[in-house]
Amino acid sequence: MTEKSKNEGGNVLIVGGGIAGIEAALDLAQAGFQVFLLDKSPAVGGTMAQLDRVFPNQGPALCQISAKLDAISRHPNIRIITNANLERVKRVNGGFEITVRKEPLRVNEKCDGCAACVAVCPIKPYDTYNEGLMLRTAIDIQNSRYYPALYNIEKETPICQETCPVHIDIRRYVGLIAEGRFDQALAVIRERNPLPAICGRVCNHPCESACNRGAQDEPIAIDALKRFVADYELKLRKEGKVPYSKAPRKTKKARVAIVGAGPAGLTVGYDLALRGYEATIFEAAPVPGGMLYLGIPEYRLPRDIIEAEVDYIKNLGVEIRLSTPIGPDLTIDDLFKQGHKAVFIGIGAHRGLKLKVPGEDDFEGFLDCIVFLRRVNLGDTTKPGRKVVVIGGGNSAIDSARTALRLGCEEVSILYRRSRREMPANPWEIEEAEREGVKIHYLAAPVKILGQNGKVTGMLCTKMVLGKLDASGRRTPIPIEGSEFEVEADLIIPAISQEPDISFLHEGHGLEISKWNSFIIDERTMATNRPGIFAGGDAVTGPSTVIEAIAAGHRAADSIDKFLKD
Amino acid sequence: MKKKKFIASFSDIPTRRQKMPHLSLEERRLNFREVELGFTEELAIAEARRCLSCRRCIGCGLCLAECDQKAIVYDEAPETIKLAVGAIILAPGFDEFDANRKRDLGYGKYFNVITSIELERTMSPTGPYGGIVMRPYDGEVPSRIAFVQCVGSREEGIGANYCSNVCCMHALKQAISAQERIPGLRVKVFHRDIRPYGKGSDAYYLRAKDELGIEFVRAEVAGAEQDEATGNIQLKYRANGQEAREEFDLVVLSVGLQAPRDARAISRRTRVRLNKYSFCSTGPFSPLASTEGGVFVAGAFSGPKGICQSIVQASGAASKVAGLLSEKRGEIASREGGGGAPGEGKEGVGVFLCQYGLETNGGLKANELKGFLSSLAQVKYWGEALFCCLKLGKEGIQRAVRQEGLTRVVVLPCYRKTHLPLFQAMLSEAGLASGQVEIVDFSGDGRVDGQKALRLLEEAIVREKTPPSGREAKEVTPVALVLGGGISGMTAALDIAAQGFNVHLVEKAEELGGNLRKIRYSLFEENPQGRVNALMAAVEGNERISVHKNSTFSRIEGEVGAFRSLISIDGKEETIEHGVLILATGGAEYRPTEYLYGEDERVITQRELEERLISPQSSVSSLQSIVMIQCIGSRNKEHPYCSRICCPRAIKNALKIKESSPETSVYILHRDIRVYDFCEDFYSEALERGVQFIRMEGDPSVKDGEKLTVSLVDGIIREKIDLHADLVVLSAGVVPGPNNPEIAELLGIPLDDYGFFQEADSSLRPVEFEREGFFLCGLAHSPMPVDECVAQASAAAGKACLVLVQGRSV
Repeated sequence: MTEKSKNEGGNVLIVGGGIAGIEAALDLAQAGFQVFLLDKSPAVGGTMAQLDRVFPNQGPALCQISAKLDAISRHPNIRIITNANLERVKRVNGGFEITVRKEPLRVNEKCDGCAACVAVCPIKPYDTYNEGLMLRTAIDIQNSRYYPALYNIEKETPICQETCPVHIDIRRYVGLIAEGRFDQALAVIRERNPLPAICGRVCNHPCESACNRGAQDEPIAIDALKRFVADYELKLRKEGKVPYSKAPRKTKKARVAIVGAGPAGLTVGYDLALRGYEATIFEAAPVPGGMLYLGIPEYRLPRDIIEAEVDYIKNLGVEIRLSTPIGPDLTIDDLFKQGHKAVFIGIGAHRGLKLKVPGEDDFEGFLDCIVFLRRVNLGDTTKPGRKVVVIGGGNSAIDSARTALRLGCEEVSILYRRSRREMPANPWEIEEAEREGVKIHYLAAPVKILGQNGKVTGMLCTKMVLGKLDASGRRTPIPIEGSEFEVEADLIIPAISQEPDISFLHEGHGLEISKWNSFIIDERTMATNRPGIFAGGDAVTGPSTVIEAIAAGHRAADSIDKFLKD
Repeated sequence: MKKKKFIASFSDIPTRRQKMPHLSLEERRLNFREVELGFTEELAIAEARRCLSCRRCIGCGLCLAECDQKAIVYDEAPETIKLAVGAIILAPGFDEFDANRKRDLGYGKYFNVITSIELERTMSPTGPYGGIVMRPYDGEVPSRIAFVQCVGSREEGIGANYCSNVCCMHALKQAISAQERIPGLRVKVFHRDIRPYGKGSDAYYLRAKDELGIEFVRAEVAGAEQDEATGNIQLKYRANGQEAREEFDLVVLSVGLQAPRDARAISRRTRVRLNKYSFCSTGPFSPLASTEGGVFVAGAFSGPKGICQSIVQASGAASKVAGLLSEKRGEIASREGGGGAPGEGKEGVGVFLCQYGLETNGGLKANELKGFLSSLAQVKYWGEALFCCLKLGKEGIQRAVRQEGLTRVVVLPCYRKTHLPLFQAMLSEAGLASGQVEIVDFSGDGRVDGQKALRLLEEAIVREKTPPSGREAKEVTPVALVLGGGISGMTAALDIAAQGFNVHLVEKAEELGGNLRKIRYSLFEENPQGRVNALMAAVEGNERISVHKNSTFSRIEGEVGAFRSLISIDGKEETIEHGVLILATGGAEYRPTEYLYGEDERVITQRELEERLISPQSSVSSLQSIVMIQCIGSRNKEHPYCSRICCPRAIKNALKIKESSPETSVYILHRDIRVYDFCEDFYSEALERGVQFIRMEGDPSVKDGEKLTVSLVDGIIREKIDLHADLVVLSAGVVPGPNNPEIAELLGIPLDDYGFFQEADSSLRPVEFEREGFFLCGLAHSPMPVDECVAQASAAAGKACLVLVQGRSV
């Protein structure tokens, strides 16, 4: 036993089977160490194996690397693990405990390389080894004039499904739509997404950016297809043709409280109800949906759609108590006292950040986008001003501007400190805003809010230039000295960013909070530092997307289920 | 980024996505009705159908039915493997820049605009066109090719303000290769600075430019347009301040190197820190160490690198790991294959012709050989084989040996040194003794014609048994001798000591530290002197290292594993027994004789400037104008190579001047600014701070007077200009150590054309000498910056220890 552990200490993991990995493996193996050589592709060899000749000795790259490939394949001290990724690295007594996930090759060692399969395979993807200059087949000795020259089938998760934060089986449901089987398609979506009609409208759909078809002409309109099947069912339901299915039976004794009826909280409720838990959502606002209702304007997401999806979840047996804020009268500890065995906090991020320029607290006519949108979305449609300037480049900035236009404001513009390319708002939203008449001023930032008689009259701005990349990989905007200019306005709407509003927490709540006022959790379990309390969505990440909140909800529900079982 | 995977050839005609109906602008006024109206049933089905053409394995089962071996397992599950290791080396490589982001250069729009890696596949005999250079548009062989450099490199706007190091050399190599294959081919390379990275590259560049007629145009390429009729590409560019257009048959974009796509994932799992370009973060004095203990880095993960540099880093990282885990080393395993039964006779000879080898050795016709082979009585079997040396070809060869009862095998053409053990192992499985395998190697002979090939082949067929290549077990003295106590020698000594071996470190000066002791500050390291001092202390305090200062080396005898050397220590002779020798004798700084240096005290070197800048009485800030002249003693007739360190050094000093005295004008007169990888940021910073970079044509001249006058021809406006300077700073290059010829003679090892030491193979064996047991690193090899010296030193130490460990098992 001691012998074994001694040997393990002398093991070495090499990540990457290109020339550097191979050379290091050979040196270490020869020096008496056991080497594990890991490569994410089905064959080792790396870029060097693609080259024609090697500089400066001008020898053929193939010949030069083949001797090395042969040597690693024969060396008793080297174990090659291809098609594999590093999953976890844990430090243990001076060394590391490594978890590797090896994807299946789907062709085993009985293969004698006759290539009969290649002749019949009907699927022809680009041959990446040949840089897409030709096609190969789905079963192939991919890239492998090289070791290990094994045939393999590439059959992993499609890229859209892989990219989707909640991993909907997109290929399956789109295929079902193509065949006209809309109800089944929707059932596939609901396996992973409780809000299909909502996401079908407001999702930022990273799946479409990843879609392979985009390289050919344009990506599949995945999101619009999702919306179509969801709307299709809603229409039939309104006509009374599709009744709600029966709510699942409450098989579990434990009750769970959910704080916040936004996408994260709704998802937790949905998942737990399907698993037979009694879940109650406590919502401070008089309407459900959180930011979906209070933040997103109606022209993007009609209220009846939100209500219909919330009704669907209620019909599963989830109770939603509106206008029931958690606060001094009803604390989180009270929820436990009421008999809830676990609490999920999904309060979102509803507090706008300060601009930190002089004058922002001094005048009337200065309204944070969260306050502004909330007011409008709860029914106040009075015209707020004549000349409106929105500050920021995210989706809330665009939403505020387009909303102001709809309220009859004569002139609406957006001020953004970086350029169009860096703008975080969805590009299609930016386009629509411009078409509707919103003016966008790039590379400009506010310096001071100007006012008279207690009212905003405008703003002093400066032009910006983009400098070097900062640590986050974005280019830092730098003010241009002496470039100040004035902008006239009677309403200024800052839409910089938001943070969670944690003022509802009672003293001595004992929860770990970050310096951005968000909840600190264990990313795998979504658990906070207090046993039984979980958190997710914008309350943890700061402002993010609906689909990320749903993903967080799923993770939390899984984890709560496990917590209650243990 | 590679082409996206898994796209099937489309059976349907590419169509744009279906348009979703929207509310008109008028209908949106003053209300909150939903703007997007959603798909109708017809639109939805039509859109969903677009997805069907685009799939990977659908599990149709056709291959399953065809597979006689029943080797296909559709539902094989992923496997989770647990490993316990003592150390990790990260070598995930790089990704190519996605040329799709440069649509203005025509990539993705026009077929005849390709990337450099695509050209590489095109030129490869195993590639899609069998090695024939043709354009993808119509299969025509191009007669005019343009290379566009710096695509995805040196550009802040795309988030890659670093030099990718390898592209200039890569384009040169490809241009020359293409010219060899297409007679009369015209090649133009559009570049910014030309930066041929690595030893011997400048000579290669000059040969391409002056002898082979490859044209180099310093230009900014602005766009590309396709001629609809011919598919030719019009390049629009700006050179010498003027717009120009030119037509080419094929345009190659030299795409830069980016951090691998999974860099973030790797960083999350291992906690190693990345730099702002997502490459792994390392330091100049620790180029192989990540920010996490026990996790080392090799290859392009820590910054763009070519093959040679990657190999150096790989051996270096292996050495670091071996040092860390030296207590836990297992049994030393042999790398060679088994012996097999001794075969007899020369009657059953089989000859295998490597198709690939013949292909790459253009002058040789397989047919000539075939006729000859059938005329030889001893040859019982011959055949052409593809990929003899790889698994694919292996079984065919083994089968032939068994079926034909071959007793001796000759492979041609191939590399004897690297491939003989491979074939010996392969054929021992088929029952052949290792002595009965022979390789005909053309590589040492330049281009081989039919006549010569026949002669070499005949020799190989009738040659007596090849002696076995495996080294016989013998005593190894587990001690290393390191010559030179600079950064390279010290690093090598410490690495070897860490692996548990004793080291003698011989330094001719009074102190360790070498050239680095003169470096006061540096771009990447705040306190270089602190680092050097720490290193010196570590060496002097290491009980396994005997430091001999004021010492010289005077004689060596013996062979690998058992050398005896005579060292004169403080004038006293002493004999040292050692198993290996590492040469780290460094280089010297060129002492200028030009531009009034030594005559006028206002002309100084960069090193002297550095001394002045840190001195508290520095008068530099009172100066109005400082002119730096690059390439002093570099890239000229006498020293036709780049000294690598002078450009960063000039920028470093210029920034230092600007820091304390922003008003001082600083001019850097250069031929190309050669700052590699992340040093580019400092170049940009210097430009921002107002340092003026002027490319000079020809040599400048310096006249004295009240102020110094530097006259030169500005390379862009092509006019003579005069600069008045209070101080002229000469960027003196690196020259070979003055004792190199003597050392080479003593050790019996070769020098290269410039007087540095010549390694065994410039690509694959950069730190070894052909003579076994001798290793090389640092400025003795070629001019290079600190991080490369350190990596090379570790690599040399690692390779040397591979010899020394054999002493332990005996």
